[in-house]
Amino acid sequence: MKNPQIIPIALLSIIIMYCGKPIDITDQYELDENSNRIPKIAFEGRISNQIDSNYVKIRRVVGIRSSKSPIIENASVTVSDNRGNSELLTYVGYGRYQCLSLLGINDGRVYTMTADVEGKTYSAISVMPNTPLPFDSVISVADEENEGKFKVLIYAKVHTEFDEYYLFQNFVNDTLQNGPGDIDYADNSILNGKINGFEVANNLEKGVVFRYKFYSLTKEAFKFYEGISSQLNNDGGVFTTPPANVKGNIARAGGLFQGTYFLTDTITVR
Amino acid sequence: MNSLLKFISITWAIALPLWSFSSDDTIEKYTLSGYIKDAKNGEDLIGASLFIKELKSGTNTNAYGFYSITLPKGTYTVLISYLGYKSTLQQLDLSQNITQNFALEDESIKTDEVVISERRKDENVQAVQMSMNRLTIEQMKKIPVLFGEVDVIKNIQQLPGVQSVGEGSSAFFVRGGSSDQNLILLDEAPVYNASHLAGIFSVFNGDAIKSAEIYKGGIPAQYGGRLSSVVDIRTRDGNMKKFAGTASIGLLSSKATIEGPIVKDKGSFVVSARRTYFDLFLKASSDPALRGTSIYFYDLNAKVNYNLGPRDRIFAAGYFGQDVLKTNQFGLDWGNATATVRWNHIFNNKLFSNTTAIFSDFNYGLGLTSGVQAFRWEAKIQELSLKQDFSYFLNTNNEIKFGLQLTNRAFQPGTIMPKSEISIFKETRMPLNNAVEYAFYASNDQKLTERLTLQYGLRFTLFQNNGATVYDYKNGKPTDKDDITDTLKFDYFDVDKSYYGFEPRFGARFALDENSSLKASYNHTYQFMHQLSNSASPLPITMWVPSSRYISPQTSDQVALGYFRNLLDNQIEFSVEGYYKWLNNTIDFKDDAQLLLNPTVETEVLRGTGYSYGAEFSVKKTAGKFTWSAAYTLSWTKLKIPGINEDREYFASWDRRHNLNTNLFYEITPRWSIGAAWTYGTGRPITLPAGKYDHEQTSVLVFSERNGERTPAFHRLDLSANLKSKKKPGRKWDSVWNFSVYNAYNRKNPFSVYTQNVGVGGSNATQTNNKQIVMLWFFPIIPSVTYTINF
Repeated sequence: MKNPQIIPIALLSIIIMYCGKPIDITDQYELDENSNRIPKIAFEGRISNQIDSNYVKIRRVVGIRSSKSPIIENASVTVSDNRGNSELLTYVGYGRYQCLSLLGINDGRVYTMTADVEGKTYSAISVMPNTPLPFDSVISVADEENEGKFKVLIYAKVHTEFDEYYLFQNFVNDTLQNGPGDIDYADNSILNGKINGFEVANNLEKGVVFRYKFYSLTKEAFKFYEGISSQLNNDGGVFTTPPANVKGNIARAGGLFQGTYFLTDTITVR
Repeated sequence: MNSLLKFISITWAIALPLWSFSSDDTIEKYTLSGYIKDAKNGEDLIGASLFIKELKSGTNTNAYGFYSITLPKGTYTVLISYLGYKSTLQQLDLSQNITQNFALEDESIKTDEVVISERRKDENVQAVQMSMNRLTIEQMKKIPVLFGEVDVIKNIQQLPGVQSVGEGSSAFFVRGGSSDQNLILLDEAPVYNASHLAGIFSVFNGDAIKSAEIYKGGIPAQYGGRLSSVVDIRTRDGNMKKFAGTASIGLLSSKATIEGPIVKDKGSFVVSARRTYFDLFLKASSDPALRGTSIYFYDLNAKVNYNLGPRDRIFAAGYFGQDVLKTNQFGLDWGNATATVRWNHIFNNKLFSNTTAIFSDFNYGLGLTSGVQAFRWEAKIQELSLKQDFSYFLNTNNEIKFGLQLTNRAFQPGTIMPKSEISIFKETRMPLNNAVEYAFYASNDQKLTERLTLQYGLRFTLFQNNGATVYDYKNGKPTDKDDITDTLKFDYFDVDKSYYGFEPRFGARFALDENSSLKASYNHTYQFMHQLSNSASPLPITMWVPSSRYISPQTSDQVALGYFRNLLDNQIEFSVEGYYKWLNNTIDFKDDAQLLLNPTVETEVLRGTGYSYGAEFSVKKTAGKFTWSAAYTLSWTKLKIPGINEDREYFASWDRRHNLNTNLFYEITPRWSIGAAWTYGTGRPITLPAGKYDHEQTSVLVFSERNGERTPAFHRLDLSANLKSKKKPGRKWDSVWNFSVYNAYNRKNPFSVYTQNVGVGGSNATQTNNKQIVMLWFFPIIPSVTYTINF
């Protein structure tokens, strides 16, 4: 489900892409990755209604010619709520600091992340968003445009009485299908509350296990994903906006620490 | 500094008329007035020159071809001239008021000698107006163009002081102003979106256009509403003498014009139509996605005019155009419509009146046609205006203009409708808005001495925002829609917010000698309408909003100084102009601002200041078989908007340091002519990342500076050749073949430069998180052929 506002930009870009050919000119630019105007580290943190999805990752900001962001392994990361609960996260490798006991609860709790990294302290605050309405159903049907394959449709309701923000992920046989350029997010500002047979995946083989994850986000997290999507869809052409930094919620660092509530459903495609 | 200049100018505008209108009652004077027209078809000639040799003084025709000049009784040699036409000399005995019309013949280039001896070509030196270019359709046809389509906006983009963002865009930026700071008028009706096909063509059909004047500075007081320029485009009136027509067939579009007298020499009509046929080529594609895609535009210009009597003439003109872009599931369309009805009335030989009723509409729609995401989204702006202008030719030394304008604008920012029973979208309507604008102006062109001529004026504007839905925010500042504390709804004509201001305009010309002059100008301008665009070039679907309690009017002050010189008996015109412009309350938007379908768009708007300065050099030869021109601009434009670039100054997206445009045209024989144009511009500002970090499955870019890098330079050579048909006695038609090559050396000019994920895997590429900077280029070498028949 895409925000309609990006459709015209995407279509114009598609039309233009048929006419022009991109040329790699990376080497023509010296980009100052050591600039003191950019943060040096970035956080990816989540507190949710599922314990194994509660973690904080810390990485370095690198130049665009680097292939990966190096992880940071010797930080001290604590997550606490405003009810007096707190946990020092356990480092489990690959830059990931894992929650073992603290669960995200949507009763007005506010969660705080505090991290000591290489002598500096960083912190972020997030509330838990609304609990989304449960799916009515997730079904697979024949895909008319791909003979012999299947597509998955969802039937659900969404709140309309207050603002709500969402992120979606697809998994096939436990492998995330959303690629590096694919952030699927939306809000409910122009929705009528009924999702009747919305297609979330297609071209699926019979027998695969399809899992759909539907996150409810804070407004802050929605803006964060919106910023990433804007960067990914920005072709720098005369019709696109100047690229901009994605606004997170951690001072002097990139990334996001977010409270999120998610639903998931799994079907075997047949 | 700019407040001081404004104060001085207002003082002059009020004080000068009090002591400078002098008339010597002892000398008998009479008025010579009339029209100057094209001898072949009766079209009015705008800006044609009438020069009295004995007095070394003269005047020019106004937008309706009318002139008036008051002289002492006597016998005079009158030289009438206009670019592209043979000049004519006539002896006149002025012993009473005379109405004298003149008709000029098309210039046939035989020998340069004949042209020079009769032509008065020092208009650029003698006129007080500076920073203005007048383009006629004959001049525009000499410049090679994309797909052979003569385009007034593409010609304007070649002028000194005017920047474009590159290929594929009709947006233009004048002396550092943004693209919404240009007032584009078509027969006095404003055009809100001048692009077809997202800017590849403009909405102006070259066959319908008579002339275009662009004011980049020293904007006369009769114009207002935009900060940076006025483009005043006039369409042809139609052949008063006989029925005629033109038809052109090109590679991607065809057009036709038919015109003729309603009553010979009293009234005429002209209708021009145009359509592209990209969609026909796409249907032949082997790619099913392209076969299902339609891209085309069409437009229609129509005009009638009629002389009701020796003192009255009426005009009615209209334009309608539409762009359509659609695939099997998605549709996007936008279009403009304008209509004007005008009445010219001559009260007496000195007082000319023009009354105009104006309508303008810009609308767009887009949507998905079927399925759970089916929707239709529409928006529009409509304007109704009544305008009254007077020209009073007081005496030889004073031409006074005054008038008023009342404008009502209705804004419908957006409506979304679900388009299927299972659609997930609900009906959503953005609140309507209305605005009323009143403007009054007066100005005088005054010759103080033989050397010194002044042009001064004052414009007053009152702007009211009515009928709005207005939100109150916490602390009175529209920072976020979550801070709304109250909602107020105003009826259609109830005023929520008013703004008003004086706009002094001033110009001066000091003649150093017969062939050179110095000129200076100052103008202060307001802009109450703002285009919601945070891209370098506006999308076809960007809307306009009025000033409101949260969006103040933008203002500008510009000073300019210039030196003008003609050489070789006015064969060669040279000028250099320097300018400095201050911009206040200039608008930009928050990072990733959501401007479409946002009822609280004021929360996305940021305001600040800007400045622009530069120098423009122009040299051209406009007469003879071989004509050429070169224009070079050196300029800087910077903005400072709190909330952007960490509150530091940054280059505007349209800042271009060096810009050079050259063209030449040569008539080899009466049948063959060739042309060439070479353009060069240094790169425009872009924002590139300084770093990145991984987040979930993706990679996030980090930027240190807005517009801190530049695209590669842009340069392009275009060539053209024209072959006219042989003239045969008795044949009532003629034709022209136009052969052109756009981008003759196939330069890969940057359309955009951006950062993307590297894909691996060839045609079924999978994206990775590795990043690369790529340049997209648009137009390779493009030959085209157009065949035009005139009858």
